[in-house]
Amino acid sequence: MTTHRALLVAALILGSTLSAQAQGLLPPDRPIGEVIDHYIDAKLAQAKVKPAPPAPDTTVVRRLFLDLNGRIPAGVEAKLAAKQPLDNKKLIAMLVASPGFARHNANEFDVMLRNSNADAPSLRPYLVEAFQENRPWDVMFRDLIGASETPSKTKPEAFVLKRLKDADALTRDVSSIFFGLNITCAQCHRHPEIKDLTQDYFFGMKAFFTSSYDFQGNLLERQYVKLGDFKDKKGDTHKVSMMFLSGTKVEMDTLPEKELFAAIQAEAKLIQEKTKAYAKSKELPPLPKFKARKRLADIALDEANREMFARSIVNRLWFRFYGHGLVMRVDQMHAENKASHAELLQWLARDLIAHKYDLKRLIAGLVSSRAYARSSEWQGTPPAKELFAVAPTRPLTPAQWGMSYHIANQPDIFKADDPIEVRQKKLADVEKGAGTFAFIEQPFDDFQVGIDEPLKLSNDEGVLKAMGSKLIPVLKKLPDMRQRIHEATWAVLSRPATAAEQTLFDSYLEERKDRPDEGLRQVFWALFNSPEFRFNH
Amino acid sequence: MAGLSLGDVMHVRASQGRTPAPETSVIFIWLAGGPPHLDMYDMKPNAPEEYRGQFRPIRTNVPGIDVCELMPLHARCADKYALIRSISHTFSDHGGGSKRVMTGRIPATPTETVNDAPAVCTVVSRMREHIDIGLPNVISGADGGRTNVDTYAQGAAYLGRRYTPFMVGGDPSRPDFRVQNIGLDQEMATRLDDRYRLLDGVDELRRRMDNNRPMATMDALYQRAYSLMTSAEARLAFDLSREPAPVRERYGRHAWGQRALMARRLVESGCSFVTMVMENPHIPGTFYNWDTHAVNHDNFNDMRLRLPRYDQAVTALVEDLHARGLTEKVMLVVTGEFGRSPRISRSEGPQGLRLGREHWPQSMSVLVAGGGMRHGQIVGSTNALGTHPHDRLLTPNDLWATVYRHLGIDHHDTLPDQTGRPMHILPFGEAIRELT
Repeated sequence: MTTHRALLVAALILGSTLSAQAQGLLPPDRPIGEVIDHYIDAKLAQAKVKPAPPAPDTTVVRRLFLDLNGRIPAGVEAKLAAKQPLDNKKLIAMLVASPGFARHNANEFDVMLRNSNADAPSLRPYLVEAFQENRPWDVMFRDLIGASETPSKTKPEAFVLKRLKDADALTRDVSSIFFGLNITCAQCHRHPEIKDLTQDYFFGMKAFFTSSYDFQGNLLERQYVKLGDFKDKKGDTHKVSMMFLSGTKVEMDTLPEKELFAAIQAEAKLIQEKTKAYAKSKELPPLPKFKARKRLADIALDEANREMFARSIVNRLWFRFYGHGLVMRVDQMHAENKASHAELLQWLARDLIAHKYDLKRLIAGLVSSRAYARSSEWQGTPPAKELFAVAPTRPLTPAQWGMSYHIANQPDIFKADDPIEVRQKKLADVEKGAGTFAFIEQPFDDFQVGIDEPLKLSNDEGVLKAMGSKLIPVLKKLPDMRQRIHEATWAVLSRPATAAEQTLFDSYLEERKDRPDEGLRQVFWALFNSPEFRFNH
Repeated sequence: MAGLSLGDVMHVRASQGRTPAPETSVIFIWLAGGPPHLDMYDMKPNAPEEYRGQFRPIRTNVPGIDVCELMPLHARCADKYALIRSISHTFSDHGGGSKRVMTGRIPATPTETVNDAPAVCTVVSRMREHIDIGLPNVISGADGGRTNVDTYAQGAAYLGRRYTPFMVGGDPSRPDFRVQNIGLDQEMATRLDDRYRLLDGVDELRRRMDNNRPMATMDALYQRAYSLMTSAEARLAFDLSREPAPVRERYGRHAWGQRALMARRLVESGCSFVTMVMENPHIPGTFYNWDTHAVNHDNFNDMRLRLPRYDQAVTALVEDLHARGLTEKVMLVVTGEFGRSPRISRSEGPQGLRLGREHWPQSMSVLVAGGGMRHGQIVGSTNALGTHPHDRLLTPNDLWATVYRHLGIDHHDTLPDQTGRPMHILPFGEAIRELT
């Protein structure tokens, strides 16, 4: 019924056209870490700020484990790493190659893809699979919006399917997550901060999903739809047409009103019949020639628009590792909200596109800079966050926290020579126990913790009883108190005990020597409740 | 500070942070499942039989206000409360109705109880977070196993979990009733002291990072937790055994009565917003909540058993607020997520014919008292059959606007949602002028 053509409308108001200005950037063949430091250092020099010194090796090891594998290093791993001077590159290569990398990224992306939407499903099985085979981000995007030619058993399109009941939220989530632009504000009126972002953009994006429907748990599209109208604040009516955030429009030749109405009716009837017969026939209604979601993916990833897509994921991952986006907020990436390091963002987006949206490469690159490995300590008032002069203090996610808790409790879980399958199985076992800490808050932009967390950790009988239950028998095998304290500190804080800690614990355990298990439990509790454990610092 | 244990030090630090108690509080009684307004506060004796039901109205001490014959104690003190008969909304599922009423917003989805906007109690928690009285500012009490904040749509949505109410589960009329994690006994407190003393010793990193906000937040939170766990105020406020026996009897020696009494003790101690759920009366022959569909239970058999207990607990609280001079400070609100259908439904089951009333958000009744409001009046009315408001059309938001006004919170203020977008505390609604 339809032929369609894409129109590029006016100027691109939402992102700058980057490729035109790429000449001034550092060459594409430089390592990512070096490029990051080049641009960050330049800005620090300009602001006359001397950055924090490098963090101690033990801190960087812990940071990399948490960021790349979602857990602290086990006691043995931490001690092993401390035996020689730290080789960041080698450790990063090992961590991104380990099975924990896929599992941790699946957790992180699962939260990101939910976008705080209570209706959003968990897509973890799909994400684990995708990260295990290092599926490129553009392919994942197609999978998630149901625009892929090859269906996946793990049903990534549930991302759209489960949001169909609230198309406004679906539109918001797709725009925010994949393109870094929350357009909700343009639903009822012009965007208050972006003067050119009119309601057409909101309804234009929403229109790509108008034909989508849930048929027996399958995400399908109808052939005939009426895109309808929307009203502006003055009450004037506007016709809706599909339009990508850059202004690229898809015009559909549609049937005359009367015929369209009849066609819609007929299709609805057909779908109803197919629904009735489905239990026996397992037959789907015919698919339309024009696939709106696929069209959206094609437009978003074409040469004129793909930088928006690349910049958004670069900025979101940057936010994850550096605690502050190159553009803040991560869902307000538009021309009137400038990046702190525009060229760096541009270089990273170009690099991601040139390397076929390889997320593993990008992530390994982001954590390989000097800026990443700085100390998080700062005397006096800290400098502006967007200078990245000091490493951020980031609360652990519930998944990181749970995994780390279990690893700390079993300091000798991994043997240096464990084959990969054994490691994977051990990790899966640890994961099973890690999901039980519902009172740990998922951190978002603004760190918040409920009073529940310290109350439960301080006084909940079940939690207290479980605390250290596997660690204590291991520690008790050690001959003297000093070693026990030493081992416990390595297990929980991934570093040796300080002299002050040795003295404190020593005298406490001496007082409690009539109940040595109870004493050790309290020591473990204190280590475990220290802010040093709670944060990736 | 020689001679003080760390616990003592923390205690001193914690109590130094105490602020004066606020001047206003709210007690919110939640009748989960939806109470039948035609059998309680909005009787229609002249309606046809299939509407008016089996009970007769009785006169109260205020001419013109009648209530159900099963609530004689209400009849005695109608000059001490007000009834609103014209609130309605459009969400007829328990989930949607709870979200609609609890949040003062139109929920994105009509079912389930996970809020997409903050419940009013969590907004109060946010607006009163500077107040530290040694007790949580916002507390909710419910049966054990019903203390998840989402059970009754009390979630904080974009405000964040730290603003959700402190949940108190269990039946406070039972001798073994204990509030978890608050006001610990001596032995527990000693062990806690040990742990916190050690914790202070592993605090070096935080000390070196004195101006690090996340770490400072965490430290403050542990102090707050410690303060709650060892708080003498908390221990006192929850200790119902300190009430004279006749008072406890008047409220009723059952979960509902003692929860109402606990609410009064808590607001007297300075809590800002206390929700008490009166859901399951735990009387043989009653349904577990107010949801008396014909398919669930016989509405009339259920009310015969349930209403006397309700009558006792709620009027005890109303009279007590008056007797103790708390009617300016404390505002009491009693409501469910909706009313029940005026038209009676029938269901033939194995136990024979059952009569019921269905979900009905189109009309409901709400009881309010205190808050400096004018008592002994009825606001609004429903039509002859009680199916829809007849005059003075109101929404749950008007009720909340009245509550916010009492608490000194401007409901036109905004709080940012998760995307930073400013959201009005209430998107619409105005304080009910007849009451204020």
